Order: sequence, then structure tokens, then C-alpha cells
Amino acid sequence: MKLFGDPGSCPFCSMGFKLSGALSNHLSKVHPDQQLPRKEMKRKRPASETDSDEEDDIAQAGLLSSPLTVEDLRRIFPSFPVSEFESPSAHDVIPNEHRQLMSCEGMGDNITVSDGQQRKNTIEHFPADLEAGKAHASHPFQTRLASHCFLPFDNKYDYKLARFFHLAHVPKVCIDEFFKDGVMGGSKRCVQAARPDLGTRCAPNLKFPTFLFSSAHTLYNKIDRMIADPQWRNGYVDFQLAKNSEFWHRDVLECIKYLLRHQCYAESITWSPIQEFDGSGERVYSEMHTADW
Amino acid sequence: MALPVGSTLVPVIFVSNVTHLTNFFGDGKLWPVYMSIGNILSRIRQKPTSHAWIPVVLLPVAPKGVHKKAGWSAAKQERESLEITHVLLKFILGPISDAAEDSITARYGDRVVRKCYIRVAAWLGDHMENCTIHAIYNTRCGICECPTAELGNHGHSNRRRDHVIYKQWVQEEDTEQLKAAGVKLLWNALWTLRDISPANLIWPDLLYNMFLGIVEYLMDWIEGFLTVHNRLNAFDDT
Repeated sequence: MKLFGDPGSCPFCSMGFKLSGALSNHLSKVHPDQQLPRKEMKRKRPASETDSDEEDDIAQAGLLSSPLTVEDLRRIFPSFPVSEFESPSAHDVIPNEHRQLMSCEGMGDNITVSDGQQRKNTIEHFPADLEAGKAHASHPFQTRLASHCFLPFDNKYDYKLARFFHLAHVPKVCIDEFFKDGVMGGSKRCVQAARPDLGTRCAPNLKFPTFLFSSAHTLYNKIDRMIADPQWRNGYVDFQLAKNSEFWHRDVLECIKYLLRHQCYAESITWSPIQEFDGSGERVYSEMHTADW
Repeated sequence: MALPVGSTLVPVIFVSNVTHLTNFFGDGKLWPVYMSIGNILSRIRQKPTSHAWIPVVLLPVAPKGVHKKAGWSAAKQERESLEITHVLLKFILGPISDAAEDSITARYGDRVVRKCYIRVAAWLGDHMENCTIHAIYNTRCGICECPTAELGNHGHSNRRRDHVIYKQWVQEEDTEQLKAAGVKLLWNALWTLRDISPANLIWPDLLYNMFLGIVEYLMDWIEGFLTVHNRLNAFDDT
């Protein structure tokens, strides 16, 4: 019954189904003598209809044997956005880094003006000799031992298992159960066998790799250690009515540094302002760095 | 101030709002202040899963009720809590104003060290919040010195708020001038920030101020229009 791509409703009565299995069950029980109108059912799907129409058109044009060209596409689909296929025009010849900047800001979109021409927002960059956001030094990237590249985990098995638990959204109860069941050689054995000098390898006398965490609690403790959040500090103020009211705060500079060094934002951080103009020369403001700094 | 060659600007955005949590136990309120930086593209910054907004401080909320003591009024108590808030804000913003003169060398995510100059660029909040942060009267505009009665008039030409003068007035304790400008006699925490006029920090909050106002206005207009033409009941019936 797979031919029912859309197991919506029965073609003979008004029953609706969510599962194709339920629909086929219904068909065999209620309408055993009915012939399945295959073609009709298929025609019900608008997507397949258009597909076949397009195929017909293409077949009529005699194009199926030869590769499609831009002209053919334009003939068949007048509204087809052909610009993507055209040879690089003048505005496409942009240095790579600029294009990257534009594309990441969504400014690379063409704006269709009423006369049918396609114009583009022009971007004026900050004077290069002012070297906004110049790299003063590259960070001394510590050469770590191979066994340390999985910190805070000890070896790649630890890391992989932790990653799986995290990405698969395994509940803590199930993680605990996983270790209690002894699938990987039992939790106690895991901890006993894992010695720091074993490093990246599993213990030689065990069939399974060893893990330095044996419960959800220890696992998430390790994961939490990966985040170097700015620290919370507390202080007290005296209101006339409430003495020693506690408040919590963080160091603002630490927070800024934390945001700046976060690798997740590395690709989307800008450090020099730009001026953006649309096709008619109007200034366009979108992000903070498009203003007058 | 022009930044030196080879340095970059880190505009800091603050967001704060008093949040009413419960009516029990004499009102439970939380007053968080969040911050983020303007260098991060807004489509990343505004994505909740990107965690680009960091809570910086949970400001203490002044207790409700008036102290039963001679010479202690609600106004005085309000003033005390405002003063405490501003002292705290000054303490929180201290690192920024200390670091404003000099650049901090921060490591970016791409493992490169850059010189950064930190400036506060915006403080997002609703009107009441801005009034508290800027220490002005609740009935006055935070951007210009428009008198309360003329708020909402089109095409007025009031002077933009100049906090340098206010600072001077506060030092001289010139209460009459301050009252005319709608400013409270208080040492504002934002005055410690460099190169910033607090009036420029206010950004219209589209969700709270603009859209809400427009929707409210439009609804009034539509309802009035329908009543005049005796069509309001038709909408209520359907």
C-alpha cells in the first residue's frame, strides 16, 4: 500500500487516517471489492502533478536527451531565477573575505528594482589604513599533549560516549542505568581499571574501553567544567526596611572577554564598521557596525 | 574620542527590566540586568540558543511598605532605594569606566589578540526602567526636556537632555533647575561612563513602546469607527 503517498482519507468514504497502515487495514475490511484507483490517488498530490507536468513540458521541448542550458530553462519557466546560473557579472568579482562578510550579513541579496535591473547594496569599508581590529598577536596556542586534547575527558572513548549521551538527550536515569547494567564492564571495574597513566588507550586486560565517569552525575560534572563562565559574586546592601539584602553580580569585563573569546561567535563577530548604501544611494542601517562609529 | 589606529570598539548593550514574580510575601520581584556586545551579528545575538546575553547582576529590589518612623515617608524611601540602585550600578559599571581610557587586549574566538575599547552603546528597557536608570521623573521624556503636558504633541522643539549640565546642577544642588528639567537630585551612575551621553543610550523598544502604542491607538480608533457606524455589535455577535 505504499502507493498512498498521502495517507489522508479513504477514497470511498469520508474516513480520515493518519497512518498508511490504518488506511490499508480499513480498505481491506470495509471496501474489499473496490478497485483501487491508483492514478486518481496519485493525482491527488499536487506536488506530483506539477512534477509530471514539468516533465511533459521538458519532454515536449525535446530536452531530456540533451543537458539543459540557461536558455532552455528560461524558455520553459519564464519566472525561473536564472541569475544564479549566469556567468559572473561585475558585482560578483568581490574579494573572498568581503563576499563572506556580505553573505553572513544577508546583504548579498539582490534587490530587484522596478525597471527589471538587478542592483546590489554597495558597501563602503572602513579605511584600511586605520586597521580597525588589527590582529596584534596571535594567541599563544599551547601545544597540548595528544592525551590532553579531549579535556576534561581523558581519552577519546570518554569523549565520544559523553558526546553521544549529550547529543542523544539521554536522560540521567538512563545514563545511570547504562553503567549499572555493566554493559561496558561494570561501573566499579571501569573506575578501578582506569588509571591515569593508561592515557588514551583502554586497559589491556579489558575488552572494553574504560571510562573515568560512571554515572550521570560525574559525567555532567565533567561537562560543566568545560564552560568557563564568568563567576558570580555576592554582595549585601542595607535598605532601611531590609538590612543585608543580598544581590548577585558578575564582573562586566569578564563577561565581555567571555563573549569575545567564545569560539561559537568567532565567525559572526565584526570588528570594523562599514557603510552600506542601497541602489539609489540611500544609507542602509542594519547592524550596529553599519552606523557611524 | 577617536580610537587609536589598530584598535576596535566593543559596544556593550545592557538590558534590564523589573519582573514581578508573585503577589505573596509582600511582592516578589526580580531585577536582572543582562548584557551582550554589539560586535556579534544581531541574528546570532538574538537567537536564544546562542546564549549571547549574559546576566550581569541581579539588583536588589527595595522592600514594599513604608517604614513606621518619624520623618520617614514613602517618597523618602523611594529615594533611598533609587540611591542604592545607582550606587550599585556605579559599582557594576566601574570596570567599564576604568577600562574606557585604555584598551583591553582581549582574545577573540579566532585565537587572535586584539586591542579593544569598551563603550556602553545602549541600555534597552521600557520607559519606567529608563526613568529609573536615568534618574528622571516618570512623567518625563528620557531623550528631551519636553514638559509633561506637551508629551505627544507633534513638532515640538525641546532641548535634548544634556547630562553634563545636570551633573553641574547636582553638584550645586540647584533643585529648581533640576525639577524644571525633570531630573532627580542624585548622582547618576551613567555619568561615570566615558564618551556617552545617557540620553543617547535610550533606544525605542519596539515591542513595548512602539507596537503596543500603535495597537492600542488603532484599536481605539477602530472601535470608535465601528460604534459610529453601528457595526460594533455585528462583530461582537460573530
